[in-house]
Amino acid sequence: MRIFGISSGSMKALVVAWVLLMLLTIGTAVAGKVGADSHLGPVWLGALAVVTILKARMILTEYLGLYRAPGWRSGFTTTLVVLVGAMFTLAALTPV
Amino acid sequence: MDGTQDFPPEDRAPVSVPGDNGWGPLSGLPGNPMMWILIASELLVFGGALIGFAGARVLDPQLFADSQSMLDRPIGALNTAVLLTSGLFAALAVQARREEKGTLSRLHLGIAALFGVVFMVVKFVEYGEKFAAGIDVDTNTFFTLYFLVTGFHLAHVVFGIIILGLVAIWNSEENLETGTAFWHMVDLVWVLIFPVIYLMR
Repeated sequence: MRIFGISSGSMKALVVAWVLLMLLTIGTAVAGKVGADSHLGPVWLGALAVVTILKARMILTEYLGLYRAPGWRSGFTTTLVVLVGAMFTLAALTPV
Repeated sequence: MDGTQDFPPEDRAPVSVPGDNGWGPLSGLPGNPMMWILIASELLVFGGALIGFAGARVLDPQLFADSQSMLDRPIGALNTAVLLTSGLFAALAVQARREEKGTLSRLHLGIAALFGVVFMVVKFVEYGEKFAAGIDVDTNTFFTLYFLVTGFHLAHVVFGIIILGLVAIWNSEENLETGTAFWHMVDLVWVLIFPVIYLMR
């Protein structure tokens, strides 16, 4: 597997993954409106859920080395999508 | 009676195929497969707890909104970056070991553990502020779940730092893959905890 043209499993790929994780963490802060107290609403909740899943998948693929086991990576990703989907569906159903 | 006597040897299902170390499909995973069973279990336990948290919020949204506004969201975001940076150095330690650079591998493990300690210190400061404001595990449902989930995670951070120390001493490639897999699981769980407890509203 490759990450921005760099083969997974190299030091360079790990650093690229870390940079992406930092950018996604900024994305989490933006989608979650870290500096405000306002309600998020379904669009920002959806964005927060997507960023959360992308971060988790990046950890699984590059940090945990599941690029070597794509079947297992799909299984873990599916589990995460179900779990995060349930959490954020409940959030969307919560009365304001 | 031995049931296997009913079948000629060539018809019996193989216990394992050559090269899989007896773990079947789990043998394709990096490190010791037992660690992956733990990772899957922890993911389900924390995932269940966070779904429970989201469910409790549906039942009492005002209490959760008021209590959540007392959390320090920027500090939570900072701690996410700290833990993910720690994860980078843990992963670099494994890569260095694969390249037979033992000293560099141990150095990376030390930096990973140091970032883990920073995470712990930030968390203790956060807890200290809550206790100083008279908030504890019995304050209300939100804070009971907050302290239980983040406290259980913090216990994993402490245990993870000890594991990083152990695999720095006994640093075979498999030990490093297994020990750092635990550490990345700690990352993974925090990546779920932070948005759900601190941000979801």
